[in-house]
Amino acid sequence: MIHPEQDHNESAHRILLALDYVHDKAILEAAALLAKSMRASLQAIFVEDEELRRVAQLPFTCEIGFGSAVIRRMELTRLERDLKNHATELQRMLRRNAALNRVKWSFSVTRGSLPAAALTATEADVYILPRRGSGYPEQPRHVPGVIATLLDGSPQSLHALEVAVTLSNHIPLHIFIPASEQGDVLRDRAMPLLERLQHTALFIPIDDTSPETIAINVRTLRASLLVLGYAERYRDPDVLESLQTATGTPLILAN
Amino acid sequence: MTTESLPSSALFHPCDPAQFEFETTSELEELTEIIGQRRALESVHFGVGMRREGYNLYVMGPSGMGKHTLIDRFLGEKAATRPTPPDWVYVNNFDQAHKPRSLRLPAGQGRRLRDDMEHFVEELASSIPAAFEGDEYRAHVQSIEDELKERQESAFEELSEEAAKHDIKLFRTPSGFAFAPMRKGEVVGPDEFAKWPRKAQQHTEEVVANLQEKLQRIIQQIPVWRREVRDRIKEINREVTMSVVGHLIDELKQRYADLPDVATYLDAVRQDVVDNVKDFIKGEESEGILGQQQQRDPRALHRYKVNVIVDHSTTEGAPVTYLDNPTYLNLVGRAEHLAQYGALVTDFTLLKPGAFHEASGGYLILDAHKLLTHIYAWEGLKRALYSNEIRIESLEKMLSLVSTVSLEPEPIPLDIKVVILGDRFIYYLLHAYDPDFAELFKVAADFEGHIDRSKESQALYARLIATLAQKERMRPFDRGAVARVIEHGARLVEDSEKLTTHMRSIADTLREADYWAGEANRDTVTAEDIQTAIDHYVYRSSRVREQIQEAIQRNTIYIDTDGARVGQINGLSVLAMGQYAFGQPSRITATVHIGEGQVVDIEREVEMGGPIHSKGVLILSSFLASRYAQDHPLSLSASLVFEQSYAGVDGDSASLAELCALMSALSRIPIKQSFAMTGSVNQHGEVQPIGGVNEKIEGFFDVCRARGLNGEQGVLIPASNVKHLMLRSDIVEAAKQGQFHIHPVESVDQAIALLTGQAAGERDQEGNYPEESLNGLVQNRLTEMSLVRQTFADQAKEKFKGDEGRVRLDDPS
Repeated sequence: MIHPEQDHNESAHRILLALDYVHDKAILEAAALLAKSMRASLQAIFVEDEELRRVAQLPFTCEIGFGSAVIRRMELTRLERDLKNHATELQRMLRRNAALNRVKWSFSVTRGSLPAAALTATEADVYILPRRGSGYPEQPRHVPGVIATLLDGSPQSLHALEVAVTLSNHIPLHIFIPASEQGDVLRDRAMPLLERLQHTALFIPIDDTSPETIAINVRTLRASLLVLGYAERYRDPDVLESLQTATGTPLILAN
Repeated sequence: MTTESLPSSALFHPCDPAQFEFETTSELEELTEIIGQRRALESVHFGVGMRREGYNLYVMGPSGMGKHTLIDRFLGEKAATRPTPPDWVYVNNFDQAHKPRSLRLPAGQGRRLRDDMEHFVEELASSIPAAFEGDEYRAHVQSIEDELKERQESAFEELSEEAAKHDIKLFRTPSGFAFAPMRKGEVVGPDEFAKWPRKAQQHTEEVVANLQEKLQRIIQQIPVWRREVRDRIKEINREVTMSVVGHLIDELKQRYADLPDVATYLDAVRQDVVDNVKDFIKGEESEGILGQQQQRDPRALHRYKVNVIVDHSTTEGAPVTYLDNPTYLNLVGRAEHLAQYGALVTDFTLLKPGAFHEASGGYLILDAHKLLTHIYAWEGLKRALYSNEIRIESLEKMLSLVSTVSLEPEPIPLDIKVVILGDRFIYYLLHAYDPDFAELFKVAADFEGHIDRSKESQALYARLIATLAQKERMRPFDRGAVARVIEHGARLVEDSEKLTTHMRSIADTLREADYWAGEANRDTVTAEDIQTAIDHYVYRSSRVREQIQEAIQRNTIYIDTDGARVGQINGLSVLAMGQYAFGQPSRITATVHIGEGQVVDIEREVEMGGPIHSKGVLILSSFLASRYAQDHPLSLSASLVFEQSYAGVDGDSASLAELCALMSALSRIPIKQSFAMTGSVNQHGEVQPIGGVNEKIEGFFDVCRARGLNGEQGVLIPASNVKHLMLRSDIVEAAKQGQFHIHPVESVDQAIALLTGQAAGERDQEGNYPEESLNGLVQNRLTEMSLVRQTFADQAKEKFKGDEGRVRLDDPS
């Protein structure tokens, strides 16, 4: 679905924005900004959670409301209606942000489960995954806190750093690096990029670069966004799922 | 019975310059007293000294009397001996912002409090953000928020773990949570669940129901936890704020330790700063403290300002305020508004003082006319004086025209002495129509329009001239000039035995004379300059007078100044053109015929005559009846008219002339047209004084002089007006040369004898006048008219009797 108001320049890059029923205005804005910066097209996929649909079809399933704590019968038709409304609203927000940044965009709806449905949908330079909700929803922060990224020396992590720098205009950028000599080397490699983009960042050495350690540091920093290179290990949906659950932040994967 | 014309010495009463011992006024001491106003001054003294309610003053007298100068000077001296009143400020009412509080402070302290509060706010604006940006505060708040997060997560994790034990998973839905049974990591589908044994289904449903209840309790608990967190953060905010604001407020309280109201206000400020600390933290910085960013209201910190409404920091003694433009708002003060986001907003900082605020503790001077012509100003004044407080209230609210929320500032006590300056007419009107006036303005200070002319008062006049000359940096006046000013002062009040106290007229004459002295390159103002000033004033004002004189000379307006005519006489009237008045002769004619005893005043019939004129005509008809128709009906019908009069006529000063014209018409004896006359007459034929005698004489003299004085011309005036004569020097000279005559008359008989040259005649013992006397001719004519009328009446009666019983042909019956 190509829209008339979008820029007619050919886009060499593609950003895939995965969306679900969690509204996150900041991630839409970040996606549009990034697309503009990278001169990429923005492909949004709204994923209707297949698992949730099955839950709704069970004869006894009830839903306990967030604010009211009222227990009410869960029905598939209502779920579908809710998801459709969410998708419509997100599409409207995306249209506005894309128009503001003059980027090409598309919006589609699919069924499946995140993040797998998004990662397998299409090849992209950057994947943007929404915050994964499990516990009680936090009150949204109007001001982004900190952007965190991992620089481990891989080409993807360098790309991730570029993406993080692009998004961190006026927002503190924290860069995790291995707590080793390699970390120092990586820091030296990152500095020219930061200088070129007239940006500063705080380098945080971490003992290992496992998803668990990253998640702990993200939580400690109260980071609002995590940007990682799309390394092999994150191609496993379970790893990604648990990382997202542990950080509680949206996740950007740079190819 | 005739009267001699007045000697020229009686026509003008000069002031002898030789009586003065000075050469010029520069030798004279300044006059510090107000001449001739003892009664008014004592009234003012009493009114100002009387510190009781309602003893405000109304100072009355015509404009230009120097009332304002006198009152200003008097109150200035009085105010200097009285204590300086306190300052008043308006501050925010932190409980009810629309009702600003007023604070009383010693004189000069209001401004100090304002400056102190400005420094206080500046200090807070930098100290508070610094305190909240500190690591200690941030770490503290972070730990509280983390605690909440952990509490929530822990509750959900425990519930999720409990669910997992039963192969049940907690799911997020778009608007809540749901539990569902799992098999091999996947949700059990509805078809599969349907295949489950009934018992297993029931068990799962029970477990889910149980979990749902637990989840419901957790969700219900979350707002409580959040509230706890908010309260704890609020408490920390309070502590941090108090650590900053506490000692600043304590310092301020120390400075105003003897002012309990200020201390109470400062306590309220401290509490408000603690409660509204967000207002001191800019934009994004507030997020860390309040959880979300606050839009900073640019006027938020205005509430700690101090609006000094009364500032006596530079006042010495009590204030004396003259309000030139006494509108309601200028009296009571106002709440101004600012346009903000398309709406008009106001607060206590936009309260502006009125004259009541400035004058409270002292004196307020107002002009009656201005006060009464400004809408609701008088009502506002009365209300403030009755309530003894100043309540700033908009007119719209006072009149209930709008019902929007507006300010209701705490009233400020009013301690004031109001002095209204105005003319007597307004005073009498207010007394008659406003009962509140007598309650609130118990003291009237009535300014005299004139003083007795004596050697002493003339000496004072000389000092007054000297004072005005020095004050206005005029040239000194020599004694001849002073004498001429005194003569002019007598002429202005139309009385040779009085002097005017109308200071503006005197001062204007002095200024203009000073100008003419300058034009003549003189260092001293002389009598000649005074005369030039008077002449120029007359010349500048004489356009209409000269037009009328010209019309008379060209016989457009008929005035005879020689010969004799029956039933025609020259009356005299005064026309006032602004401040300038002049005399004008008018022809009055009378005609008679048989009638029912009525004298028709044609002026009244056409509604051009005023009531006093009509009264004069009725008096003269009564005089005729009582003198000549004692034993027969007055069978006269007469008409009187001011010829060529196209405007209204009022006053009774022509009643003597009208009576003479009527007697001439009845007696058929002509009146000498070389005379003009003025005077009113009573029922007994006595001549009574009139006003404007000098102008009237001058008006006829100018006509005669233009035609050539023949030695026969003159004016008849009431004898009681002789003392008022202050005539022009050319008339005095003409009289001295026998070219013009002023005859004082006391009775109508004297007057008619002079006018006709025929004796009026006196009643004999039988009540009859001599046949050939003027009165005899009048009496005979009236008797004759009565008989003729009686004859006509008898004939008509006979005719009526003869007609009785006859059938009239045109009678339809």
